Amino acid sequence: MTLARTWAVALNGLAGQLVAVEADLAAGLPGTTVIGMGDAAVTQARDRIRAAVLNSGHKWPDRRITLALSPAALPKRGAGYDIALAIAVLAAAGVVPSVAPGQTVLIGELGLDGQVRPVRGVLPALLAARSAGRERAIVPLANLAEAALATGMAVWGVASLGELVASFKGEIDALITGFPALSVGVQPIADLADVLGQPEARLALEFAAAGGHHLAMIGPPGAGKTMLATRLPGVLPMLNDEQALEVTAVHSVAGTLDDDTPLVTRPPFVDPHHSASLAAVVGGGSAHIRPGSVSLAHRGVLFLDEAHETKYTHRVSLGIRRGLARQRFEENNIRPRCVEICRYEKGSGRTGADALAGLLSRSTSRRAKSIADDQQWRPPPQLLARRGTKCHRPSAVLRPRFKLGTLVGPVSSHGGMMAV
Amino acid sequence: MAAKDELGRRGEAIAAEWLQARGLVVLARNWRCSEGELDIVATDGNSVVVFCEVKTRSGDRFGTPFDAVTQGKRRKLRRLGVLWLTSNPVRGFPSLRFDVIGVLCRPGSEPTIEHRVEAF
Repeated sequence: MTLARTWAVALNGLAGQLVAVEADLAAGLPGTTVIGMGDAAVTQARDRIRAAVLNSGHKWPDRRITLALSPAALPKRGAGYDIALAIAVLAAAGVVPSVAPGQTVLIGELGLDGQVRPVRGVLPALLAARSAGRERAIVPLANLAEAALATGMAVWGVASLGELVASFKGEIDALITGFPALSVGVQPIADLADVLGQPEARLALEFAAAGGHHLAMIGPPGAGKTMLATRLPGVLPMLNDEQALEVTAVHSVAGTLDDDTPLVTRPPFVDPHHSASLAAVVGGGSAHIRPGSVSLAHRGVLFLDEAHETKYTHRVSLGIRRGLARQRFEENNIRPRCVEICRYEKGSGRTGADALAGLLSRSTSRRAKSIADDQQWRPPPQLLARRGTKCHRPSAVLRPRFKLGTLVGPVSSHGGMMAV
Repeated sequence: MAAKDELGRRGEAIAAEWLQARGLVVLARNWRCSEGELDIVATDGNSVVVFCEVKTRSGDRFGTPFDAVTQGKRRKLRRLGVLWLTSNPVRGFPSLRFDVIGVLCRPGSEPTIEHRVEAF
């Protein structure tokens, strides 16, 4: 057998596509070429996999080796193709049975010693493979907990190339199988009950959480805007299974997942710096698309502190407004659920996009200032009476009352204030 | 003569015999010009000129003989091939072929020959 094929996944943002990895061993002088629109990391794989194969105790074929990644016109990035390339070569050389890899998707980077190293974006890659009808996958052992979240697929973790080859040859029984992380330990989160005073702002947080509204907070430094904002995820409903998978996939591409408990079950909280670039906020990148803060805040809270700063009001705000108006951010179809703006007064917008457009417009900054100065809105006496008191209901008690977009129960005991 | 040169000479002689045994006619051996040397130039009698590089090794500790024919060496051999054609009377328009013959002469055992036809 001088020809073999294995399978990998090309990831572009969150969108994955199956890639056939073919190895051909031809007559002629020894040499290896990798073709199929790979970037530098893919092309350099030929040196990595050669060293890995030799150091795993196998022979590197003394032939002219052509490695092709198909579809050839699709750009491919990163070192995640290493094990698919290595197994393709070994299958073509007859070291492993050429039928053994079959339809299994192989993802992982190789070290020169044959160790299989973790890569980013394993979960979205497997979700793409699953929707393409693949049922088996082999991933780096360090990514196994994350990969196992792709339920419905048989997923194995592998620590070294030698182990992988042995399993394909049937010399060892099985690789380590992944089990979906069941009840993931929920990350501790700031509680609304810690907030002393600020009854109006606390109520506003509850409203925002209940309706999925944007929220603007205006106030002098030290008033507690950031403190309140960080407590919004705690009162938002926990993510359901489907949402958790979506959010985890985004964070997988960003490489910010926890190794042991990869599943993100809380609405994320993201606060980009006010000097962050357009690409950092809305995502992008010329070669390797990375999710920006907006995408990382998918189904969570995007906190734009100091939103009146120049960068937001110009390029970044335009980018966010465009994405919200189209209901998608181009690189990966992601839309934040709840956007929070600090120091800006809400405009008279009807939809979330309009509201945010109002929030971020430059003229609003003057209007916001005048509103703040005029104190047009005065807190009702019930709220004034609660100034200086601690919130008596912790976030965990508030949370179950909200289901996004609908009010399950009264938001506040001050029911009369609901007509805001 | 250094031991390595002697080994090379021996390998080239073995390779020439090997080619002749397979019906090729050796036209030149160790053809030199200012740019370098061609080990063996042969023809199969059917207007194919075979330029043959011979690599001889006494072991494989430093890679196979074929690993030694690097990109730069291939480029040089192609250039030498053209130079040979221009300085030798060749009738018609011959096809060109570049072969590599690897000879492994382990001490105390018979030499083994591997012939890669159309190596590059």
